[in-house]
Amino acid sequence: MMFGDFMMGARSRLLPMSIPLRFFGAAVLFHIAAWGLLLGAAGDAPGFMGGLGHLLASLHFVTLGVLAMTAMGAAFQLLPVATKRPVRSEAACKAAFWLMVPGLLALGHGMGRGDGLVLAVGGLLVAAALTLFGLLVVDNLRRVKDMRVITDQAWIAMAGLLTLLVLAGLLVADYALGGFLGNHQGLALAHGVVAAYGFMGMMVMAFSFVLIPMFCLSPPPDVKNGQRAGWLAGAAVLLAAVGLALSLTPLVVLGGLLGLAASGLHLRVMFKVLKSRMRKQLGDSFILVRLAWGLMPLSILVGLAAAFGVAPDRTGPLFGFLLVFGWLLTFLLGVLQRILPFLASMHSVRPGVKPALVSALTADRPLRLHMITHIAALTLVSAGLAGQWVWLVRLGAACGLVAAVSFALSVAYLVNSLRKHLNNQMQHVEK
Amino acid sequence: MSEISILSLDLRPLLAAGTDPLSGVVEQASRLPSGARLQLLAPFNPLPLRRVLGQMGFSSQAGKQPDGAWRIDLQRDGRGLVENQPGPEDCAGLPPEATVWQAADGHHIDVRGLPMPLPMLAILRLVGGLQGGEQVVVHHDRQPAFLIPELAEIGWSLEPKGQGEGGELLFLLRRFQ
Repeated sequence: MMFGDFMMGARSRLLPMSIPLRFFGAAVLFHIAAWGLLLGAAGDAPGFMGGLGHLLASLHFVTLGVLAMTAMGAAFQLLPVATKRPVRSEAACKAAFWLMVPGLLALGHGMGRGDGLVLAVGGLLVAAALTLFGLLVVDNLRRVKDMRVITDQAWIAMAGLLTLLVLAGLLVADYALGGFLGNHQGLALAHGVVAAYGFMGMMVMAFSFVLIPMFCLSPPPDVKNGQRAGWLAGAAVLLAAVGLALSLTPLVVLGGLLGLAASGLHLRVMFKVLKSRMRKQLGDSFILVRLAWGLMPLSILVGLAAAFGVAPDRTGPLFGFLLVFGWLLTFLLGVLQRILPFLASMHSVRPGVKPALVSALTADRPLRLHMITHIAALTLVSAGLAGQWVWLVRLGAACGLVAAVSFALSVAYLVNSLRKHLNNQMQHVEK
Repeated sequence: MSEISILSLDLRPLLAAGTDPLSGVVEQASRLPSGARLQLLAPFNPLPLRRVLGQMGFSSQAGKQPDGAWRIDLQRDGRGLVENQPGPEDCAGLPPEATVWQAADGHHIDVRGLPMPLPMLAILRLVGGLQGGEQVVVHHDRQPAFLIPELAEIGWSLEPKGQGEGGELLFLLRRFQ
C-alpha cells in the first residue's frame, strides 16, 4: 500500500477540512454575537422568565449557533473516524450548514424583533438542518455494532433532538398564529430542558467518552457506569420534561434528582479517566473542562431550587445561564481549544513531510485571555442574576465578549499557521 | 467415550523468524471440532490471537512458564472466554494489552482488537521508551488518524507498510530526519 492509498483510506472517513471548519468558523462568530446580544439586553436579564426578545436570541445563538453548530462539525468529522464508517454524503453535510446559518440568523432576528413570520421561516430552516444532521448521524450509528456506550448516548441524543424539534415547532407556531397553547411557558421550559440536557448534554456525554481519554491519554472509560449514566440521564430528561409540560412539580423534582445521580455517575467515570492518564500536563483547556463538570450538577441544583419555588425570579434565570453559558458552553470551549489544533494537524499530513505540530498551531496568549475572561464572565453574570444587579450582568457580558473575541483570534492564528505550513509543504515537495 | 483431540503448536520459532503466526494458527484451529483442545507456546502472551480465537469459540487461559515462555491452553467450548486478560487498570509501564516483540526489521507492536484509545496509548508508551534510530512496526486493524499528531509532537513519523499475513494493516514508525 502506497502512502497515497493510506491517505485516501484515511480521507474516505476524514472529510475535507473545509466541511468541519465552516461549522467551527460559524460557531466562533455566533459565540461573539451571543455575548454581544447579552451585553445589549443585560437590563432584561435579572428576573427573565422567558418570552421573545434579544435575550432569547442570545440564548439560541449559544445553543444552536455555538453548541449545535460545533456538534455538527465535530460529529461529521469524528464519528466516522471512531466508528470506522464514512459519512453517507458530503453534499448533505454542506446542505445542513447552508440551511443552518441563514435559518439561525432569521430565527435570531425573529426572536429579537418579535416577528412571528421571520421566526417561523428561520425555525423551519434550522429544523431542516438539524433533521438532516440527525439523519446522517442515525445512518452512521445504525451500522455500528460495537461502542455501546457512545452509541447508546448518541441514540438518546437523537431522540432528544426529535423531541426538541417537535416542541420548538409548537412554540414557533404558537407565536406565529397568535397563541393556541394553554401552557406556553411550561412547554418552553420542557423544550429548553430537552434541548440542553437531552440533546446537547447527551452529545457532550457521548463525545466525552471518545475525546477525554484521547486528550488525557488514558485507558477507555468504565463502560457499565457510562451506560448507566446515559440511561439515567435519559430517564431524568423525560421525567423533567413531562413534569414541566404538564406542570407536575413532583415529576420535575424526580427528574432533577435522577439527573443529579446521572451527572454524579458520569463525573465519577470521567475522574477515573483523569486519574489514570498518561499525559500529566493537561493545560488551560482542562481548567475549563473541569469547571464545566462542576457546573453540570450545580445547574441541576439551581434548577431544583427554581422548581421548589425558591426565589424563582433569581434562580430561574440563573439556572438557564449556568446550564447554557456555564456547563455546555464552557465544556465545549475547553474541548475546542484542544481539538481544533489536533484536527488541523491531522489534515496537514502529507507524504514525507512533518505535519503541522499541535503546539505550533495553538495560540497560547489569546487562549489564556479567553479562559480568564470567560471565567470572569460566568462569575459576574451569575452574581448579577442572583443579586439582580444589572451593572454586574453588563460587566460580565462585556467580559464574555472579550473572551469570545480572544477565542476568535486564536482560531484566526490557527488557520494562518496552517496555511503557512501547507505553503511550506508545497515548496518542499516542488523542490 | 470419544477422546478429546489436542493440538500443540510452538509459535516461538516462527516469531523469532519474524513471521506472524496468526493466520496459520487460525487456519489450523478452524479445523478443530467442538470440545477440542489447543495448546500454544509463545515468547509472550498473544492477546490479539487469543481474542481472534475467542471469536471462533475458543476459551483460553495463559500462564508464564519457569523458562519465561507463555503457555496458552485453549478449548473450543463455544464460550470464547479470554481469561488472565489484563484490564485497563494495568496500564502502567509498557503496554501489557498489546503484544510487543523484536524482529529483524525493528520492534513490532500488535494492537488489534484493543478499544480506543488503548492502541494510541500502547504505541506512544513504546516509542517513548526507545532511543536512537530504532523503528517500530505497528499491526493495526484501523487507520490510526488520531495518532499522527501525537507522534509528530514527539518527533516520530508514521508511514503505511502494506498488509500483514493476517490481513491487518502495517505501519512503520520512525523518527523524522
